[in-house]
Amino acid sequence: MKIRVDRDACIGAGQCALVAGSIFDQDDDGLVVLLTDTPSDEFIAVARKAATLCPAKAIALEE
Amino acid sequence: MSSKGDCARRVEMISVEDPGLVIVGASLAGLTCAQSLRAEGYTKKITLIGAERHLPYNRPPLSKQVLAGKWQAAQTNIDSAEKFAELGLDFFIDEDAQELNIASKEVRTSKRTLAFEDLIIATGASVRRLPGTETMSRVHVLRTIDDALGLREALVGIKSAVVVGAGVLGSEVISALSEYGIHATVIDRMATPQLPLTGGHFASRVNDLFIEHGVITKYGVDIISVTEQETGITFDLSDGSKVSGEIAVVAIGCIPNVDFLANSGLDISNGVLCDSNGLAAPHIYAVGDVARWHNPVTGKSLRLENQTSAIEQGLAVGKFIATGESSPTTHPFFWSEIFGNKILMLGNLEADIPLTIVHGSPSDNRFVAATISNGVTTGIVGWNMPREFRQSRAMMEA
Ligand SMILES: Cc1cc2nc3c(=O)[nH]c(=O)nc-3n(C[C@H](O)[C@H](O)[C@H](O)COP(=O)(O)OP(=O)(O)OC[C@H]3O[C@@H](n4cnc5c(N)ncnc54)[C@H](O)[C@@H]3O)c2cc1C
Ligand code: SF4
Repeated sequence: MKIRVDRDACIGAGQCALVAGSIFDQDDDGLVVLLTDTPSDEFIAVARKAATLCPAKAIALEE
Repeated sequence: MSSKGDCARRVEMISVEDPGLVIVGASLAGLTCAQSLRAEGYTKKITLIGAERHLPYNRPPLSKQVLAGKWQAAQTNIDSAEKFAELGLDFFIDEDAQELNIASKEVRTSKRTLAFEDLIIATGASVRRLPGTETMSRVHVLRTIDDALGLREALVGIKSAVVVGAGVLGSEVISALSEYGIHATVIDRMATPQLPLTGGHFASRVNDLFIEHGVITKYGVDIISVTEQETGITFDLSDGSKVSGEIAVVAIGCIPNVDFLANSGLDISNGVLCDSNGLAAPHIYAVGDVARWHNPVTGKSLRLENQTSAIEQGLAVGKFIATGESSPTTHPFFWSEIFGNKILMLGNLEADIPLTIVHGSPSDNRFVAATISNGVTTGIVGWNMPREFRQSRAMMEA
């Protein structure tokens, strides 16, 4: 699975970093930073959770 | 559009008599329900109908990236058609529910009658119009992608506009106007601008931004009459003054879409009243802007009009239907961008409690502030400090 983030859409809510801190971080402006775009299997569920919870729908998962 | 190919195959696998689940309203809340149901293992048929002619899209960018001309319409789409197909839905756009009969478990739509075992109402809200201006072509509203594209086009070449409503949407529109160099006048019957969930604590900050950007403010006035001329629009106000612009944008809130529930017997005074699992009646649920959920922590039933509540309620109802498990109540979250300031809000700031500055400083225009009452944090606002805002969220969980 591959993760894509759209930093133009991101509003810095930080939901992603809250639920999946091993995959997502935020830069000084709060915008999402991907720590990895291909999470290992054990992190796929939290990556999916982050994508669903992102209020700006800025996270896409490609299976 | 429809994901018929996949659905036809799926439907064969389930018994013919099983009507499955119907979701009315194909936007963020309805779609999140469908995603959550499938993620939680719900295998029965799901029929999703939506009144709009578009695939589900995000509304927040309409008043931000789209109005500013930075995004094309397609960039607001929530997911691609392929992603919907993966959910195995019977998905129909341009079809609206017209009547609900709870006793017979049927919903009549513009195209047919659908039977259901469970029903999810996710019909959101419609924009409130200023009476008498409904047919005026120079008066705009902003709720749908078509509204946003129409307004963006109307901004080309104009120099002045009147915005009715100094709430968060009106404030976002005013900042977009200012980026286009359009001179704005704002009218509100309240005495100050309003941001949701903030207990009035930021009214003067927002007003300062208006003044700094040359916005003319008319607060605490009622509109007596509106007249459309060939070149503009004029408002007569209760203080005896008149204001005019080439166009007007009315942003005075929304009304929950409950017309089709009028004879259903449900409590639809200010949205569909639900318990803390989203149940409005046995087998009938409501989520998102149309729903007024009971909050067991505060004891109040509130209609929350924001993305995060729509998502969280959608997740909770999907899980509840699929597994019978309840989800914990969460705090409402909202964001906005006004004149380039990134504002994040969590919980509910109380008007009568002074702000505690948790990070940064208001004079630097970067801070996180909270209201804390008897040691309990009731709300947090981040002003141009997103990372510190996230760190401070732990205060609400304490
Ligand atoms: C311009 C704008 C900016 C916003 N900015 C923000 C923001 O920055 N942050 C934030 O958190 N929130 C923001 N919001 C609010 C957010 O968009 C809503 O909370 C969210 O869209 C709610 O989703 P929903 O699915 O409940 O309702 P809606 O998005 O209103 O969708 C309901 C859908 O149901 C359809 N429908 C209605 N009646 C029927 C019927 N009888 N039969 C079938 N279908 C029907 C409607 O056509 C609509 O497509 C903004 C809203 C707008 C308009
Ligand atoms: S949850 Fe979404 S909007 Fe928030 S920081 Fe992550 S990507 Fe950005």
